Amino acid sequence: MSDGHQKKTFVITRFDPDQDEAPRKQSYEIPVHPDWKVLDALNFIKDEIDATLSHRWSCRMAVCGSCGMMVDGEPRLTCKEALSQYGDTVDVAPLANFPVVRDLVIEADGFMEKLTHVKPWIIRAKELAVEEGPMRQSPGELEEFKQFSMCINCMLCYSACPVVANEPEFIGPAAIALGHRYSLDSRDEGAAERNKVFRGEGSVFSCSFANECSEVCPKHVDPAAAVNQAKLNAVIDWATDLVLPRGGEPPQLPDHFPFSGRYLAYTLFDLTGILYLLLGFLVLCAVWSLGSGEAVWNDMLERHRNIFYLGFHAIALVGLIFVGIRFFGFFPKAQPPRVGPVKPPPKGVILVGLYALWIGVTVCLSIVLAGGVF
Amino acid sequence: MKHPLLKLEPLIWLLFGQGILLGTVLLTPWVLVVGLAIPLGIVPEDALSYERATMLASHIFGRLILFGLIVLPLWKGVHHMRHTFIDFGGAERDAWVAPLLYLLATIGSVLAVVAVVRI
Repeated sequence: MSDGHQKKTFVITRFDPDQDEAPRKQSYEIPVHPDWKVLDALNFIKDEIDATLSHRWSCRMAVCGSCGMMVDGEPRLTCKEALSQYGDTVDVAPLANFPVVRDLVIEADGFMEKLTHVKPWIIRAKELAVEEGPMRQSPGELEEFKQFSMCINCMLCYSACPVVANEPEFIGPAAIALGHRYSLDSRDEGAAERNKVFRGEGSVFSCSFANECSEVCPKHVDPAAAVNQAKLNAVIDWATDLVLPRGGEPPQLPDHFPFSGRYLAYTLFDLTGILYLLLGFLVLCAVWSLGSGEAVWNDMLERHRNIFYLGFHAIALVGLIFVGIRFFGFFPKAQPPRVGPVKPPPKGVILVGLYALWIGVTVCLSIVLAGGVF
Repeated sequence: MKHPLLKLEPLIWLLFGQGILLGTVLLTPWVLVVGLAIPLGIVPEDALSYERATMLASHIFGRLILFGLIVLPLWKGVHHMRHTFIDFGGAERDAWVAPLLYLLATIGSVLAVVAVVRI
């Protein structure tokens, strides 16, 4: 292969998480063949010069989507880019907007997770029985989504997208295009579910229509078209919800939520929030009246004799004991086995400690408040 | 969609957690004595006469405890009310209900500082 027709220098971004604090550049001057792609040069470097270089690749024919990298600053499939169109020096870096695992290898987990969120599969309210035959689709119906189904998940679009750079939670071009592809499929019935996802966190509305995703897409999927079509669908879905709120859609809470069965204690625990809020404000009023002079303070004490105040405080006391017992029971298992170098005491000790604190403070403060000491 | 204010959620959770733990611990004697025992006459009212109450409350520990007695229950209260609101079907309105509740607790907390300083 190295017939030495021409030499090119490859400036490659290297990063070894075990040794490097930050990515660094490393240059390799190698002989190149006229019809080589960028990927051939990387493979040559790995095979012949530096076996420590890490990069991903598989099919060499722009189908598997694994060899995407920044070539001279542009997201490209390295198996598709002829070296002849680059100068004597070619800069190769890992895809932008992704965490780097090592050298030119990026971490794709975030993208994979987003992909599952948009439900890129055919959703049917009811599956057709086998004897009902295949679901037919006309060429015209196929044409409606075919373009968006050409995506090979190479993630070049994420690398080019300025919104992804600033809002990592944005679902992003490829995942939206793939979700939208299924919503457009005549066999699919899941558009409403996907519209909820498209309107949710990292929504399609984060897209500012930079169109960069479509500029770099090696398969001419035009994700920007999909994202912006999905916006209109999400708007229609939102408006429909306003006019015709659709009940009974997933997710559905368990039948006996929130007031019966095992949920009762949980719901009551949450409802004590109202007691605590009122208690907080009552203490605030008391402290405030103390700062406002003797007459106001005595008025406050007098008010506490009112039957409503007494009734509220009785309920509050029951609520406090309920919260204490429930929360102190849960508290020990919520402590991690280790916080940095610190290990919390055993669970039993924590539980006993909490009750000791509760009873101890209650007794001591009650004695002080009741005039026992000081 | 998450409200940008909820980026403060770790801090809110911390106040909420301490509201349950220390809030419950501190509120129990308060409710027992100030809410029940004194109004019912079990404890003579002059235990918290203006002079004695001022003496206790103006001590640095008095002020700190009173501050905790106001602020911690407030945050426990609003955070749990937010949970309740979501549980009863308000999830879609959480984006504006949550900031509103937290604003209420913030106002209460600011007033608490003023209240314990002006004793």
